[in-house]
Order: sequence, then structure tokens, then C-alpha cells
Amino acid sequence: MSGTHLIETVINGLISGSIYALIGSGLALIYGTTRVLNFAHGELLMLAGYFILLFAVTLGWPLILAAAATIVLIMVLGALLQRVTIAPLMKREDWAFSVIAATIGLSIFLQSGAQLIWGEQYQGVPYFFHGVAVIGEVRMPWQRIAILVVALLVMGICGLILYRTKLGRIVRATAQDAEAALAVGIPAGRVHTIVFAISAGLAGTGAILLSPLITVNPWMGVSYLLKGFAVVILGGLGSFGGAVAAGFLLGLIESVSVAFVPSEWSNVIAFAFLIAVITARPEGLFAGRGA
Amino acid sequence: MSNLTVRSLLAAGIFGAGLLAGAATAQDFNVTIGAVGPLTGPAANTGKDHRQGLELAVKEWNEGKGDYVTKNPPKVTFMMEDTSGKPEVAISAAQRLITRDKINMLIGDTLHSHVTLALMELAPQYNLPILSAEPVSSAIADKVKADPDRYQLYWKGNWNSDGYGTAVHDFYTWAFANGTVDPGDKKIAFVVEDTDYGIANAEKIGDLFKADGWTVAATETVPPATTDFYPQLSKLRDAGPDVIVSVFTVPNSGVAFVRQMKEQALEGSHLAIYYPTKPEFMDQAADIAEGMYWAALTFSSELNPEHKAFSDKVEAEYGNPGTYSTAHAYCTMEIALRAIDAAGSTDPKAIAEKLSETDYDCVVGRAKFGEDHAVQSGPDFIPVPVAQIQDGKNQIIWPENVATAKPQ
Amino acid sequence: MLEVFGRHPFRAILIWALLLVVVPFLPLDDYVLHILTLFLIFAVFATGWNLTLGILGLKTLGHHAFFAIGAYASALVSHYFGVSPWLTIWLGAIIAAIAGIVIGFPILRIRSMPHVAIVTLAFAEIVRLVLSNLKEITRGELGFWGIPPFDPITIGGTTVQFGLGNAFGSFAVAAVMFVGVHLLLLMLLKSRSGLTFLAIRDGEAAAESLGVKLAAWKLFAFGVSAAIVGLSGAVYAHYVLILTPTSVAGPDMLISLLAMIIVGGVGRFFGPIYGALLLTVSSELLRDFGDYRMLLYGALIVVFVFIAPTGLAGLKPTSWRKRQEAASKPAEAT
Repeated sequence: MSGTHLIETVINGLISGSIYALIGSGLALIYGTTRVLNFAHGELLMLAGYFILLFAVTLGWPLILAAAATIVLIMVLGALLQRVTIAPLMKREDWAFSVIAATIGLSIFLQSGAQLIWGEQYQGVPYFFHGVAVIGEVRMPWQRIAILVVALLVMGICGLILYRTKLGRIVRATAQDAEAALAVGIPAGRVHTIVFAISAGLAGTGAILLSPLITVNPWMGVSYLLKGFAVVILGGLGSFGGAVAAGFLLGLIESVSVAFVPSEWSNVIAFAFLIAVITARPEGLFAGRGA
Repeated sequence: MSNLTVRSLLAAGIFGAGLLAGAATAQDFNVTIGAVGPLTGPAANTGKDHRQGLELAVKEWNEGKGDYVTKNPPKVTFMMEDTSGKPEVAISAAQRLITRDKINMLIGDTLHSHVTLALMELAPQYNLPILSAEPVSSAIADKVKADPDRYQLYWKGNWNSDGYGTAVHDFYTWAFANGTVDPGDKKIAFVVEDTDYGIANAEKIGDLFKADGWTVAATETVPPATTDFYPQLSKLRDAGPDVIVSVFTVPNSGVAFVRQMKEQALEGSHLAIYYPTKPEFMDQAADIAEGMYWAALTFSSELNPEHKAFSDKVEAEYGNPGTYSTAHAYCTMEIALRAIDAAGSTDPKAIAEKLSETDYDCVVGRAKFGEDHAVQSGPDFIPVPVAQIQDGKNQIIWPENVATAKPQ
Repeated sequence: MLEVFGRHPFRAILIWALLLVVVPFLPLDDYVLHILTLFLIFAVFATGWNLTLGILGLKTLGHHAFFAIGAYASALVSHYFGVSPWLTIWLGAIIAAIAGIVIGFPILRIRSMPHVAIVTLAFAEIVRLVLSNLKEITRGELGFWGIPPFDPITIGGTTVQFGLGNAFGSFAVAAVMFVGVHLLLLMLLKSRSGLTFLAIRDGEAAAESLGVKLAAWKLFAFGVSAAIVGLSGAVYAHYVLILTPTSVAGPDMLISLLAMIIVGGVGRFFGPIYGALLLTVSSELLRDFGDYRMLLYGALIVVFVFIAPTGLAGLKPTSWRKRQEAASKPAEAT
């Protein structure tokens, strides 16, 4: 393995890792505050992909405007998803499984729905950033570098909100004890909705960054969902910071395994690593504070 | 029916002979043909092209515009069912066509080799002639060769995947000889999708090159519809192959692969298989794919007036241009209809007999079956030309007798 | 108890058995028998999964892996070593059971439902990828063909053939498996061990305090469940005679089976049977609307979770049952 190959392997790992971190940290945020596993999270990513396609390509809006519209729209959808499907189920005794089952159903419903509406073609989105950065032997297009930078920026903002603002304190308080939070006047229901919206926004950001690279299609969320869940578990269920770290770790594991074994085994290695971690450390690698 | 089961014997005893649906050979000679193909799922676009091609052939046949063998051609009823690209669904669909609709012949699968491998078992089981359309896997032909008697009613309407392998190998031998491509250290690498199609091609080409003293530097298999090839490309750049062959059936994988190869400034000659046949690929990647070789330019409205005429005919009927898949399905149906016409009955053995004698010039080439029941490929039959993208347009550069331009 | 099994479970199985004996004598064509055969195989699959999902209360999402393991194990052994499928299906079930116990270990270490769900899902994904990557042995997505059908049986001068296209024989095998598995499972669940299963579901702490060795029981249940699913996979393999990793261990299989169990009734003994029947038949009726099939599955799951969480099996009991449930509720609460 040459030096260039090593550097590229690390950069590639960090880039795919930043997407896993975006998806996983959103899932972790939801899990941390509501103990819900949202199996329809991948479809939020998919829908955001179609939105950016609509705004940026079909309607030809400027990138910033198209991205903002996509994120706002997907956050509203995320909130709606929580209000309409998840909140009513939370009142049940067996809500944990009901929510899993309902969101799995919803996920399939949205996939087939998207296929009926937009067709099964894979639709390309042009690069938002052009050109290739060349540093010595290493070549990296700006579009890919942008993924890493924007993802870090967005997750950084989320981290600041969570740990440095009043809203963040409220969210974390609800995560620790919803009933106690309610007792001191925090409306847990509304906090849950807000958390879903933020998590949808993270997935939407991922979709905007990814669309030019992976093309928009009804199934684009599927492979990221399982990776996202793996990140949540590796990071320690419900830990935002842990999920971000685990996302990058998973990306690196994958890219390093492609460098040494044929590509088709990289996911086997990633998931085997997940099961091994759970067996050895059920609380996750970076378990710490909740939310 | 060869498989008189206990059930039907008992049924006959209880409900009387009326239940035994016999082979109703009507006087006016009607035939019912069924087809199965992927009308839903990721390959649905291709499946819908197949349906148009098959239906168009049947429509023309029934309207007196067919290419008949006899003066008394049969009237044709046609129906197509969905497989979703899954073998078990295809089996259900075919069973419904066979037992409910009493089809006399099955066209299937129209696209997938793995589905065809399952479907061909129905030929001996139900004494039914089966003709597959686009599937290419050599495994199908190997199965026929292993037990020709069992699969005497099964025929494969497309060439074997080795056809690509041979063409790619022969093209490069030619290109090395005349100095178009530099063989360098004689290292070849593959990036292919994880389907029978991708893998069979990589194996065949790899074997042919190895026989010439080449080494296979890497064979990277990625799930269908992958669009991030950076890890694979980094690895390839490290291995430094002189020839890179990529195989994808989803055009966007191809667009992404070609773009990322350019970004990574990979050296070495690149040859693409299949995906450049898709119009979506040329729409999105004509500029970035400049100079790329690809196989096989089997259908081109721009270069071939016959193809243009066919494409226009499809457009007039369905409002969308014809593709290779439409044309291939059309020809497959034509071959089936002519065999039934020549047989003069719906007798399965007679139809198979006439299929074996097929020698028919259709829009995609000359169809003639080989010993292994597969349509033959090569300059005399269905050609497998290698093209190059020059100035944003496709040009055939090999074989020389059909070339429209010199390689650049 | 009553809730899980219905009022007369053994009588219900007897009725199913009688119905299945009558079916071959009806004037049905091969196609209908084919659909019924698939229904029987999937019903056994769903029942096996329901054992952990509903009756034991372990929310696993990876049972399609055991289906694939059973199917491939039996197919590979019978193909490469020429062993009769009549023997290899049991091998498939045993190997699936071993896989179940192996994956059961990490699951038992954790009580959290999300962990269990995700670990089992990841396990299924590993199984699918490994089957698809071991191309030398399984031919990967190209499909593993050359699976022998069950050897013919001669009874009193009549030879019964099996495999695709031999509708009667295949139906008979599936029907025997269906009745056998349900009968044995019902006997198991109605015995002392069965009461343990239900105790575990209704309250782990309570069960533990009663001296139930939780870990061992769960492992046992997991093994039984995986074995049943593996057996159904093996019978499926020798019926359709071709396997691809995606068709047996892909996400569609997970969704279809989950839909069957939820529609039929999670945790009801007979629920999955109703679910399998309804969905197998309706997906065939809706074949012409293939695009809408997964849409329907998704919608059915959502609708049943919201409106009828106890599934079809839970729909029948009317007012009098409700009152009884209400009376027994406080005891169940944890």
C-alpha cells in the first residue's frame, strides 16, 4: 500500500463516515430522547433527495435556496411523521415494538410510493462544486471535500444547540427523565417533535450532500438506515457525540477493508464488527452522557 | 400432460372426465403465447421495453404485417406477467400462464439469467417450449449442454456471455497489434456489479487475458446501483492496471464510475460493458466519457438506418423511442412466431424442431441457434461491435468490416 | 393462555388438517395448489418467527437469515453430496437451530429491544452477503440451481413425484410439515415448558423469581424457533429448486413475513397462519398490480399496528372476551 493510497483510504473513510455520522446522530438523537427506533429515517433521506432534485434541477433554483427549502420541508415532514404516527403509538403499553413495526411499514410504503410517483430510474443531480483539489499525488474533487466540511459544520451546530442552549438543555432533560421534565413544565410531546425535526434536518443535509454522488432513487435510504443503526449502537444508544464518532469509525473500517479485501466483503466486516462490539460492550464504544 | 398426478387421477374419478383439460387443437389454429419479465422493481424500465417489443411483433403479426413462413399463419393471443426480477415470483407467474391461460409457448425470462435458470425447469415439467429473450449467462447454455435431452424444449434467444468476453479480448488483441493501446505491464483489472452478468463477464475476459500472459490485478465486485467508487478507484490506482473493464447494468453506476475515474485521473485503457447502451448514460456522461471504449454497440439509431426505422416505428406506436431491449424482444417474438407458423401446430416438439432450424435476419442481427440452444454471436450472426465515444458521439471502431471511424 | 391459543387449539389444528386433506380432491388446477403450497411454507416460517417475536416477546428482525440458512444448507448438501432431501431438510433445520443459538448468545446479554432488533437485522445482512459472496459454492446472485427435488415415493403402485410442476406431491409435503410443526409446537407450548415461555413474556423479573433459568430457556426457544424457520426454508428450497441470496434473505422477505405476522396477530398461535393465507393469496390476486404489492404490504402493516394491533386472530373475540381481559389485566401489568 503506497502512501497516497493510505491517505486516500483515510479521506474516503472520513467522507463516507461523515454521512454515516449525519444519519446515525439523527437516529441517536431520537433514540436518546424518545427511545424510538425510527425505521423510516432512511426514507426521509430519500424524500429530501427528491426535493433537492426538484428545487435545484427541475426548477433550477440557486443551490442555497434549494438546500434551505429542502431542509425546511424535510424538517416539517419529520415533525409530521412524529405527530401523526409515532406520538399516538407512544401511549400504548407495547409501544416499543408497535413503533418499530409501524415505521418499517411506513418505510416500505414510502419507498413504493416514491417508485410509483417518480419512477424507478436513478436520477442524477449535477455536482454543486466543481473542480478537483490536487495535493501531491492525492486528488479529491471539491464536491467530496464539501461533504466532509458541511457535515462537520452541521453536526457542530447541532452539538452547540444541544450542549450550549436552553433548547438543548430542555432536550437533554427530557431524555433523562420525561416525567420529571414534564413536572418542571417542559412539554415532552413538543420536545419529541422538535427532536424529530432536527433529526430529519440532519438526514436532509446528508441527502443534499449525497445526491450528486449516489443519484436519487426510491431505495437510496435503505443501505444508509442499517449503517445508521449500527452507528447508534456503536456510539452507545442515544449518545449524539458517540454516534458522530462511531460514524467516522464505521466509514474508516469500510474503506480500510476495501483496501485489503475484495469490495463485496467490506459490509460483512462492518456488521461483524458491530456484533462483536455488542457482545463485548453492549453499552457501546463511546457510551457516556445521554443525548 | 406428462405429469398426470395422483391428484388429477382422483379428480378425474370424482368429477368426471370433463375436468381433464386436453390439448385443444382448434381448426383455425390459434396460439397463446405468454411472457414473463421484470415489470416492477429496479429493472422495470427494461421490462417495459420488452413488453413493447413483444406486443408490437404480435400486433403486426395479427394485422397481416408479419414476416410469415406459411400462407396460413396462426392467430396469436399474447399476455405478459411480472416477475419483479425474482425467480420464485417468475415461477408463480409462469404456472399461472400455463395452467390458467393454457399458453402454448413461453417467452421468458425477458431479462434475467437467474430467473431463466429457474424457468427452464418448467420446459420438461410441463412439456412447454420456452424461449428466453435477453438473458446471456453462459451458465444457461452449460445447463443445456449437460442434459440436452431434458432441455430439448428450451431455447436461448440471446448469445452467451462469453460473446462479450471474446469480443473484448479480440478487440484488445487487435488494438495492441496496431499500437492503438499500449499493453504496458500486462495487468488487467475489473470493477463489476454483483450480478451474474457482471461476474460472468469478468471471469471470461480474465481467463482469456490470462491465457495471453496477463495478470488480473484486481476484481472488485460492488452491489448493483453503487455510485461511490472512490475506495475501489484508490485501490486500482495503487495496482496500476493497463486495462480496466467495468460492467454495470444500471446506467447511473456507469456515469458515476466514469466521472470518478476522470477525477482520479486513472491511467490505462478503460472499456465499459453494457451501460453505455442506455440513452441515460449518453445524456449525462457524453462529455466526461470522451475516448472511452465500450461494448457492445448493438443498437444505434444514429449509425444504423435499420435501427432508426425500428426506433421510429416504436415511437409512432408507444410515444417513446425504441431501444436495444425493445428491438431484441421484437426479434425474439418474431423467432417464436415463425417457428410456430412453420410447425403448423402447437405441438411442443414440432415447435422446438422449427426453432432449432431458425436462420432469420432481424433488426438486431442474424439469429441462428448453436448446439447449446443459444443464439450465436460474432461477425456472421449477431455482431458484438466495440465502440468509442468520439466528440460526444458513438462510433464503431471494431471489427473493421463494420467500423464507422478509426480509433483515436 | 386463552388469548394466545384461542379456545380449542387442538380442534383448530384438526380442522386445518381435514381441510388440507380435502383440498387435493377439489377441482383445483396446479396453479392454485402452487399458491397453497407457498402459503403453507410461509405459514410455518411465520409461526416459527412468531415463537420468538410474539410468544417469547424477543423482538428479533433477522429470522429470514434462518430461512436462508435452512434452505441453502439443505440444498448444498443434497446437491454436492447426493444425500436425499428427505434427510437434508432435517440437517437444514439443525444448522439453522445452531445458528440461532450462536446469535442468541449476544442477544441474551442485552435486554434492550433496539439492540436485539438491530443485531438480528445485521446478522441477516451478514448471512445474505456471505451467501452472495461465496460464489464458488453458492453461485451467489446467479442463483443456486441443480437442487434435487424430494425423491419420489411409491404407495400401492402410484408414484408421487415432488418439486416444481408436481403440484400434488409438493402440496402434500408442505401440508404434512404444516400440520406436524403446528401440532408439535402446540404440544410443547401447552406443556410445562410452554407455560415458562409465556411467563418469560409476561414478566422477566417475575419469571426469574419463580426460578426459571431465563438464559437457558431463551436460548432453547431461539433454537426451536430457528429450527422451524430453517425447516420451512429447506422445504422451500426443494420445492422451487432455485435459490438466490436476495430472494431468501433480502429485505423483501423480511417485510413480507413481518406483514404476515402483524396482520395475523403477533403472539397469537394461529395468527401467522391467517396472515400468511391472506397475504399469499392477495399478493397473487394483485399480481396485475405488481407495483402496488409492496405499497399494500407497507400500508397493511401500518394500518394493523394502529387499528388492530392484535391482528386478524384478535378480531374475533367480542364483548365477552373484552370483559374477561379487563378482569385479568391488573395481574399482567408489570
